[in-house]
Amino acid sequence: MKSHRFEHQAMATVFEIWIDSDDGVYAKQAALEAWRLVDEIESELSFYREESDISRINAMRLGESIFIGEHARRSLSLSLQLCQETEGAFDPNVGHSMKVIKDEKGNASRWSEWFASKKKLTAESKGILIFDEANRSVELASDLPVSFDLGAIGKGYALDRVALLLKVWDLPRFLLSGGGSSLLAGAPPEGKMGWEVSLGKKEYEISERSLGASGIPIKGIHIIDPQKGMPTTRFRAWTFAKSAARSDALSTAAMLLPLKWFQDRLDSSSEELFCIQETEQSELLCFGAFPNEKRTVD
Amino acid sequence: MKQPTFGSLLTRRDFMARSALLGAGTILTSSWAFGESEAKAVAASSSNDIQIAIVGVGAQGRILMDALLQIPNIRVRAVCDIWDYARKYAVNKLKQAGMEATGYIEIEEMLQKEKLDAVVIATPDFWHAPHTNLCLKAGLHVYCEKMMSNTVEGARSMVRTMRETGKLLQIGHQRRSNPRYMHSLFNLIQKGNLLGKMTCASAQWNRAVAEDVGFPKAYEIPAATLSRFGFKDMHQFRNWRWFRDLSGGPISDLGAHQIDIFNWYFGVRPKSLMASGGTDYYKGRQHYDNVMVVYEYPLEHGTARAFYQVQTTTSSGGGYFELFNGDQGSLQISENPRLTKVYRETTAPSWEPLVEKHYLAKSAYVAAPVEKVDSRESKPPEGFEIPVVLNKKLHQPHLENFFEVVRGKGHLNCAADHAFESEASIFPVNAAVEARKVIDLTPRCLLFKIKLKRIIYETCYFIYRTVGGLALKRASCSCQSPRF
Repeated sequence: MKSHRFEHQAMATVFEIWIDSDDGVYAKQAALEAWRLVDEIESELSFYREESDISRINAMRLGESIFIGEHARRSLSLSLQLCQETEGAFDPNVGHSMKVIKDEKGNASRWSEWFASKKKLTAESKGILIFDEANRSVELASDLPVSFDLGAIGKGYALDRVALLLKVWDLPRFLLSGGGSSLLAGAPPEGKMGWEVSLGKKEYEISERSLGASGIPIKGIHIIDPQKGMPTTRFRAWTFAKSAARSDALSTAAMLLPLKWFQDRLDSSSEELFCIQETEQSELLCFGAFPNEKRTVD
Repeated sequence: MKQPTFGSLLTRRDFMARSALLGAGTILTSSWAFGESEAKAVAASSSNDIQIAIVGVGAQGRILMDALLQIPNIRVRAVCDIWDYARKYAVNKLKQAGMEATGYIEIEEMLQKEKLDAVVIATPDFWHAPHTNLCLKAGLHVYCEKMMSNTVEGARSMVRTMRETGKLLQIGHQRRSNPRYMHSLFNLIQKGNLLGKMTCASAQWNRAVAEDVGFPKAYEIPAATLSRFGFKDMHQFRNWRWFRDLSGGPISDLGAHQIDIFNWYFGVRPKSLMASGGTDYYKGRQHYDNVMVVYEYPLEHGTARAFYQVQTTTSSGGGYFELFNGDQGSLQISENPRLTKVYRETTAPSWEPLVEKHYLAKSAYVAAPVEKVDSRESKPPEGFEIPVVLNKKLHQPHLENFFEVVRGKGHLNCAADHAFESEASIFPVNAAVEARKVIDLTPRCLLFKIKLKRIIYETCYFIYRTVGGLALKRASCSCQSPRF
């Protein structure tokens, strides 16, 4: 079988699909449908479009309730769940909320007040948003400034949905990429153990799993530690998971979490694996069993 | 319809409440609000919910369904589509949204079994008229996607049936309900005289190369079913927009939205058109893949010309927008807010009064008052913005307008007879390309009788001077019938 590559610009990055198939035309038609789906998802999740569900949520007031679409509902719900799992390290509301507070108030006490309230909300499992699944609506349950940005999970969520679509098209052998920072592999190419991906100097073969990456070498320091209110300087972090949305979000969290958090997680039955690189010169610190290592690149 | 008026500054919550009542778009940054509209007595469902069906849940049907799911008290009871893949997708999506909708292949069966108030139709263009007429005659209000039909006769029949049945028929020119477009026309141009004398316009839709679409192999429709519904095969079913017997091609699919804005903003019908185009990029497609057309509009102060281009080989060059030029300013408007801009001629009167009325807002940079000449680094010219935000799905306000009128409030923003007037200048374009002639759009025939008021006005004007008969047969733009 031949591997066919297709690309598409969305979510301020380049999405790519590699499909292993004898029928290149059919693979291309499937990719076109995939791009339509990615665009549909972006229309709900985009922080930059005034009509997107996320923009409308960001304009809500306490107690207000609005209808939102399936993609926004699912990705927001997962984001808030991951926020709790990671003890606030992954927080879709953090970056812009802080910016809003800092720009508009410029008041340090407001920071601590915000953090205290946020922790309280997290501890009570109440969250900032209340979802009404039956009524497809979401209610804002806090008068704190909200400014959700799903940039750290949206690409992964889109890859998960594209994977489902490709299976409907009976094209199970694929590798999906959302800007290179979020990868999702389907069944391996014919005759191979998996799709080749690299982590730093090592190359691996992955199949039926996802890989998320975060770091500062390309985008610079841009991830805010919500516990400290400061940007993190960890060099890079990778996360393997079954779902691309999870690996995408957890790789962001992995930039912030203390090493003990990863060690504790090894004791659980989690299938998620983490690799941390503290500085550019540091060796990888890995927590969990690796996929098939193919070779180390010198 | 009464035009929007300005009132006192609204809080966002006030505006949300009013928007919900009036079906207006959500506007965050201005004091703009819609005035009360004359209520139209239209019977609605006894319950607060409006029971609807979606007929055609392909690409456009999905967009409409997503917008419908944002509107309170709309219950989608059924979807109708001949393709299992699309039908199952829609039923599943509605189920996740808390609605148990039944899927149908045959619209007749759906109409027989379901108790509905209205339908939303997004089938291929050549099915618009049959489906709309059927639903209107079944006693339902109809929201139908544009173009009304692939033929002028089909479109005319829809207006006729609307009048015969007394039911509502809204056509999906959704910009007519977009608050940014409404504000720009009613307040900036008409009240604020932003442009001065309108002298010309241009518009474009530049769309990237798109290959033919396919289908999952497991979801191929049986040949007999395809044939029964007018399709040669699955390829034609999935790519119907490129076939002459099924649609009007890009000038119809894309151009119709924007040429409608020419007609709406100029407020008169064009008197002539000339066009060029061709199938130059995509081999084997029946419709022109690029079309350029020039209309002449007879305004009070003279002729204004409007140039339109649609092409399907690049998304560069500004994407899609409409640009209106006058001797005092220019307005570029688009569904994409980032492409919406206003420009003031340096000889024009100050726009400060428009800012004071909240018709315009100043851009982030504001030049200092000119009290003395200040020598320093260069400053940018004064910038203005349109302070209207639509934070709803693009088709939502137009659907909301439809449902509000179903409930007996206000008027349709694009009833079929008004849509027909506008689309009448679009039907002849492909024929004009083929004929390579100027076409005079002389108002002459098709007299409309407006019930009660008995106002008769002209609408159809497809009288042409020296075109080849065969060339214009396809466009069906002759005035063969004197009235609906």
